[in-house]
Amino acid sequence: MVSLESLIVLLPLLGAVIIGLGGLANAAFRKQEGLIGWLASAMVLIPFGIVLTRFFGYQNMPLSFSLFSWMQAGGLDISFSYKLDDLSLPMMLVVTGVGALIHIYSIGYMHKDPGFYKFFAYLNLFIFAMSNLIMADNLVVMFLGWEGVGLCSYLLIGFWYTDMIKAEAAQKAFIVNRIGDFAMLVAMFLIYQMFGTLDFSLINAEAANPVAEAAGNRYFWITLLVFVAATGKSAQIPLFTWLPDAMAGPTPVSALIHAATMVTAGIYLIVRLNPLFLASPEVLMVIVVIAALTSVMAALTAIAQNDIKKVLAYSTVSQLGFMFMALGAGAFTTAIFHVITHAFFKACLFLGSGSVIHAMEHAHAAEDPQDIRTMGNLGKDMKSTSLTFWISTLAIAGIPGLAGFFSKDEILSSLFFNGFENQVYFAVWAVGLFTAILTAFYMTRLAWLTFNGKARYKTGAHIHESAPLMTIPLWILAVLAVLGGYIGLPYLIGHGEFHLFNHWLGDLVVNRDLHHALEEHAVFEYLLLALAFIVSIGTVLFARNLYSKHDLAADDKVKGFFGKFYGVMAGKFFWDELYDTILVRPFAWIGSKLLRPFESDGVDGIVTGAGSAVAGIGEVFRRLQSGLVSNYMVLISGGVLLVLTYLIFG
Amino acid sequence: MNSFPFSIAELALSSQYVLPLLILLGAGLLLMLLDAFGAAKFLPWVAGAAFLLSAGVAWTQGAPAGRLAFFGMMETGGIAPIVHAFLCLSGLLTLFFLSDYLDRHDRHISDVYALLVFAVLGMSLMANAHDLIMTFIGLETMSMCLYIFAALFKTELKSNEAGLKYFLLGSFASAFLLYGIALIYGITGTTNFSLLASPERIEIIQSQQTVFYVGAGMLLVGLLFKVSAFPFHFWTPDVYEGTPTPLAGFMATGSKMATFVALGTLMHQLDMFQNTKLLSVVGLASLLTMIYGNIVASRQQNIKRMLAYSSIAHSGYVLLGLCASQSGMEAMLFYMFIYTLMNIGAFGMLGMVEHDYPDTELENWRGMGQKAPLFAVAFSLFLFSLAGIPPLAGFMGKYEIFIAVIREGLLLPAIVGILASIVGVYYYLRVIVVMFFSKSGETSALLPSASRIPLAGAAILVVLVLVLGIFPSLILNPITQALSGLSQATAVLP
Repeated sequence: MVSLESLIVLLPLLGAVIIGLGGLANAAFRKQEGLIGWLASAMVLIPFGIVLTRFFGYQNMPLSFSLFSWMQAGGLDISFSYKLDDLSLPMMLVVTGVGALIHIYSIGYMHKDPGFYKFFAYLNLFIFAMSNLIMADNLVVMFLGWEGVGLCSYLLIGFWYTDMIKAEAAQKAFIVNRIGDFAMLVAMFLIYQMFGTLDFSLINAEAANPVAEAAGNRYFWITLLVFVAATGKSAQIPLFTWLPDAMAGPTPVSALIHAATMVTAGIYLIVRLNPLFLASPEVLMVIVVIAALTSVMAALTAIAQNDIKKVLAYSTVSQLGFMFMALGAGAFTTAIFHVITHAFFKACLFLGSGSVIHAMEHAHAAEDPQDIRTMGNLGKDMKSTSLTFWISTLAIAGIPGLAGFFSKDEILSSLFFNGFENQVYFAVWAVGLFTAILTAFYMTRLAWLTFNGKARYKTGAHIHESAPLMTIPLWILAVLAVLGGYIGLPYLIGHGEFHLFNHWLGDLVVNRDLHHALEEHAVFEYLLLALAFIVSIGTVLFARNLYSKHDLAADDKVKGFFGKFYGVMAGKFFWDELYDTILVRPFAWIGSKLLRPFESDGVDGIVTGAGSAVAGIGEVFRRLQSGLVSNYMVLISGGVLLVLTYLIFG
Repeated sequence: MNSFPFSIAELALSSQYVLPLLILLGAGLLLMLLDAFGAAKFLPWVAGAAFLLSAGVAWTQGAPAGRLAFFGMMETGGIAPIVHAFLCLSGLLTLFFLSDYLDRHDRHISDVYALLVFAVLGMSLMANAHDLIMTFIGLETMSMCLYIFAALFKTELKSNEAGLKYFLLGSFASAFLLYGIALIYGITGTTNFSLLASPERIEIIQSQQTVFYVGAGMLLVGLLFKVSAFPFHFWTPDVYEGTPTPLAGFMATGSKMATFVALGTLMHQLDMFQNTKLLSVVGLASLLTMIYGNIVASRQQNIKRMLAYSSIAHSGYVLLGLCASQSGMEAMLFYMFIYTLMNIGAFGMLGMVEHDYPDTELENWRGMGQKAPLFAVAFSLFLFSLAGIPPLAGFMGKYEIFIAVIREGLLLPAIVGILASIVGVYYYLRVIVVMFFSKSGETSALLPSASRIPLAGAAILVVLVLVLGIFPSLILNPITQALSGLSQATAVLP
C-alpha cells in the first residue's frame, strides 16, 4: 500500500502530527527548535526529492496511486487516489521545492517564538493539504485539500493571535473563502449531475468529446461557478479583499501561502478542467474582463501603499490577475508558466521583506517596522537581501532575460493574438500592458525606497543582515527568478519549438489554438517583444530616476499626477467600505430587527432578570403567564393551519 | 387484530426478536431496584453495560427487513437492529459525561440512569414500530423521560421552566399526532403499516383525500415538532438551555434520530406518503429550518443556546435528506450517527467546564485556548465537524445528504442547503476565535479539572469524528446493507 509516491502525501502529515502532538504534550519538546525545524523541513525535502526523480524519469505515463477507498455509495466510488501527471508534477515541484526553502528560512525567522512548534506543525499540514489539492485524482479529494489549505491559511494568518486585528483578518479570510467554497460545492454537484462522476480524467474525456462540444454552452454554470470559487482562493474581484489583510500572518506564511502556492490553486483548478472551459467561451470572456479589472485595480492600489507587505500583497493580486487573463485567453499553459515564475520571484520578494522586517525589528529602527517611509538605504547593511530583492524586482517588472519577462510577454501576446478573433481582447491587452507599466513602477519604487537613497530610520539603529539560514533560500530563489523563464521561449524563436514547458504540458492541457493568427500576423510578435523591451526597461529607469532624485518627495509628484484619484488608490478602492454597506450591515439588520420576534429574547431577559429571585413553583407559573408558552402554541397552531390548508387546497 | 392467531410459539419467537429491547427493560427495572437498595455508585456502570449488551445483541441479530414481532407491531429486521444499536450508543455516550456533571453540581439524582435506559427503550420502540399505535407509545415513553430530564434540577428556575414548557408544548404536539393517527384509522380501519400499504387501503385513501390529508398533516406536525423543525421549534432553545447539558446533548441526538427514522419509515415504506404534497411540506419545512436555524444561531451569545439553534439547523439538513427516497434514508441514518457523535461531544465538553466558568456565555470562554489548550482543540474539532469542514466526519455526513438530494434532481434545495451551511460556519468559527484569538492572562492546565471518565469519553469521540471522516465506510457499509432489504418490508406479513 505504501508506495514511494504515497510518501509525498503522508510525510508532511506525519510531520504535522508528530510536531503538533509532541509540542502539545511536552514542554521540553517545544524548546527543541533545531529538531522541530529540521524535522519539518525534512518532511518537505524528502517529498521534493521523490517528485524530482519522478519528474526526470517521466515517460508521459501518469503515475497513479491510491491510498484507500474513501467511500462507496450508490455506485459512486471515491478513493484517496492521486495522480502525478504532466500538470501536477511541475506544480508539486514548486510546492515542495519553494515550500522546503521557506521551511528552512522559517527556522531562522521564527527563532525564539513561543509558538515555534505550532508554526511548523501548521506549515507541514499546509504542505499536506496542498499536495492533496494538486495531486488529487477526483474532485472530492481535491476539495479536501482546497478546504485544508484554507484552514491552514486561517490558522497561520491568526498565528500571533494576541492581536485582535490579526484574529479578525483570519476570520475574514476564512469567511470570504467559504463563499468561494460554496460555489465550488455547487459546481461539484453540477458536475456530478451532468457527468455522473467526480473523476478528473473521466470528466475531461467526456468534455473533450466532440459530440459533447456541439451541445453548446451547457458547461456555462459549472465553469462560471468554478471561476467564482477560484476568485475566492486566488483573490480576484469580488472576493480578493481577504488577501491584503492576510498579511497579518508571519512573513514566511505570506511567501508560501499567500504568494507562491495556495493563491494559485484557483488557476490550477481551471487548468485542470481546461476542456470544460475551452467549451465555454462566454465564461472565458468573463474571466478575462474580471482579471484585467482586478489586475489594474490592484496595481493602482499598490502605488499608493507604504507598508512593504501591503505593496507586495496588492502586487500578488495584480499578478494573479495576469494569470487569469491568460486563462481567459485560453492560454492555459501560459497561466501555469506564470504561476511558476511568479512563485520564484514573489517568494523571494516576500522572504526579502521578511528579512527587512526582521532587521528593522531587532534594531528597533522605527515605530512600524513595515513602513517603507521609515526605511531607506538598508542595502548598505543588508547586501544579500538587497541584491536578491532587486533581482526579483527586475524579474517581476519584466526586464528582458529574467523569468517574469518570458511569462508576462507570453500572456500579453496571447491576449493580443486573441484580439484578431474578438476585439475585446485588444482592450484587455491594452489594460494588461498598462498594468505591466504600473508594476515596473511600483516595484522599483518599493525596492528603491527600502534599500537605496537616504536612511530615514532612527539614527543610531544598527541594521544587521539576517543569518545564512535566511539568506541562502533568498539566493536560491533569486537564481530561479533569473533562470526560471528559459523553460518557455517565445513563439518566434523556432515557432514554439523551444517552448519546453508547452511541450511538457502539451498532452494534457489544450490551449485555444492561436497557431493561425500567430503565423498570419507574425510581424506583431516582433513588435510586441520590442514594446515589452522598451516599456519595462523604460519604466524601471524612469522610476529609479524619479525616486533617486526626490526620494520620498517623489510620492507627491505621483499624487499630483493622479490628482483626486490618488485618494481612491490610497483608500484601496473602498472595497471594504462597500462590503460593509451592502453586506455586513444589512445582514446584521436582518438578524437584529427582522428575526428578533422569533428569537424569544424576551425569555432571556426575564430569566436574567429573575436570576436573583427566589426560585419556586409560583415563580415558574408567573413566567408562564407572561404568555410565552401560549404564544408558542399559537405559532404552532398557525403552522398546522398552514400545512393543512396547503394539503387540502394547495 | 383477530387475524393473528394468539399462540405461545409466536410470543416466544417475538420475545427472541425483541431481546435487545427486553434487555433494556430489565436493566431499567434493575436500576430502580439497585437505587432503592442504596447501590447508587454502580448505576452508571450497570446502565452502560446494559446499553453495550443490548446494542451488541441487536448488532448480531441482523435480519432482512420484514421480520415482524408481536403480531406485526414491531419491525425487528432491516434497519431496526442497527438503529437500535445507534440509539443505545447515544445513551452510552451520554453516560460518559452525565455522572461527572451531576457530581459537579452536587445533585446526586440516581433516577436519571433508569430514565435514560427507558428513554432509549422508548426511542427504539418508536423508530422500529410497524404500527402507528406503537409509534405513539414509543414517542410518549421517550417524551416522559425527556420531560423529567428537562426539569431534573428541580430547585433551579431555568430547569423548572424548561421542564414545564417542554411538557406543555410536547403534550400539545402529541395531541396533534394522536389525532392524526385517529383520522387515518378512521378512514382505513387499521394502523398497521403492512395493512396501510395494501391496495384496498390505498384505494380508500384516494377516495377520502381530504380526511387523509388532515390526518397525515397532523401526523407530520407531531413528528416535526419532535425534531424541532420550523415553525414547530420554539421550545428547543429554552428547553435545551434549562436541561442539564449532557442530557440536552442526548435530547438533540437520540430523540431526533428515533423521530427521523420513524418519519423516514412512514415516508418511504407507505405508498400513501409518497405524495408530492406531503413531500413538499417536509421539503419546505426543511428549507425554512435550515435558514432559520443558521441565521438565528449566528446571533447567539451563549454557547448552549447557539448549539440549540445549531441543532435546529441540522434537523433541516436531515429533513432535506429524507425528501430523497432510499439513498436519502441511508444518508439520514449516517448523518444522524455522525451528528450523535459530534453533538454529544460538544454538549458533553461544554458540561465539563460549565461549573468552573460560571455559565455557558461565550464571553467567559475568552482565552480558553491558552487556559486549557488540549480541551480547546478537542472542542474546536467538534465545532469544525459540525460546521462540515473536511476531513472531519461532519463533512462526510453533509456530503452524503447533499449528493443524495442531487441524485434525486432536487438541485435548488441542495443549493439552499449548502448556502445555509456556509452561514453556519460563521457561528462555530466565532467560538473558536474567542477561544484562541483573544487574550487571557494565565496558562493553567492542558485540560480542565474533570474526572477521567468524561475526558475518556471526549477522547473517544474525537477519535471517532476523525476516523469516520476518513473511513466513513465503516458505518456506511452496514447501513447500506441493512437498508438494501428494506423495500420488501411491506410485502411480508405473518
